[in-house]
Amino acid sequence: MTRILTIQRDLHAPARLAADEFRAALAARGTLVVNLFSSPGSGKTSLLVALAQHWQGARSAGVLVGDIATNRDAERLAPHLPAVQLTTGGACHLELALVQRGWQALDTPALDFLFVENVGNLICPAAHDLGEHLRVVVLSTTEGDDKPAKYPKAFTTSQALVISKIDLLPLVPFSVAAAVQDATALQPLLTTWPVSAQSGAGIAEFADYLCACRAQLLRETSHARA
Amino acid sequence: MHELSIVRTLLREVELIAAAELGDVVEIHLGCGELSGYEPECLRTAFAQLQGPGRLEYARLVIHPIPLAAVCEQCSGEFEPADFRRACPQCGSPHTHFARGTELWLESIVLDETRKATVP
Repeated sequence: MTRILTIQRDLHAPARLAADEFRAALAARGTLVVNLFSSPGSGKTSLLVALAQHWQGARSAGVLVGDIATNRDAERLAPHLPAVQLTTGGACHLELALVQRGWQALDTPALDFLFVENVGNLICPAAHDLGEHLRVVVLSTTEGDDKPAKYPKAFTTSQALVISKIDLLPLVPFSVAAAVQDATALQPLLTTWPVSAQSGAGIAEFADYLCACRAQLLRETSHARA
Repeated sequence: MHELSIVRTLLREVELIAAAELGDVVEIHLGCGELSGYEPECLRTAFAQLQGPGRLEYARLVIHPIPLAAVCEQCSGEFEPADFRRACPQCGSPHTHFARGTELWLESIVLDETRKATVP
């Protein structure tokens, strides 16, 4: 004799609830959490170093940097920003529990920005909420302008697109217009930030955008309290 | 492949239910959202790897795909975003949110209760 037992439960629900709590807790501390993700080698770490050099300490920021192995990125960041390396030991994306542990290890409770540099991967991180307020996808000019169409989930779930390594545009067959067109066809609210960490082009504009996002978060948080 | 950890969670939940209901699990019905981040084929592989002796030993995993659905915040229309394009096809508004298709949903389980009397 068989019996059907209806369950109707989202297996993601506990993770989603935990992400919402983390998001709210960091907002209450005035910290904008930014989830940065891209293919490996697109220049996420270089972008963060360039931001730190631009701010010169005027803004406080910390980094949780995810990789499969090594502490190399945290070591690269350390002269510029407090950073904690999160090694996943093979996993293809960061999960919230790892981010929360990293944030505690960072031990700097009142940051302006907490950057979570995800494992280099345009696929899996798209489906994982890390309690971020802003999701930024980084696409470098050397990867080809067809990536938004090929990896739609990364772009449809993001709010900002950084096009990195624009100093190489004369050397590579990459059309910024084509990449932006495909990306905004997926997510029309995506804002685009062409940058070069090498030359510094576009870094000030992207930094201002991050500050504007944080200002908006602070307004929303104080509204919610009032 | 990150399906192993969610399948482990699934097996734990179903084992608890089966133990409480005093039945052997014949089928597990899972709804898998198009944007859940999980691939049905990988879920099946992970399930086959993790399935051990006990009440779930002979259980079959049945996966129902859940297509992505979005709701327009402007005109309240619901639509299925073609190729993950999230602008509203009716009014063109970019302000939309996903209503379905991001979840991994444990829908139901089918229990065999014939061993109920003999197995504690």
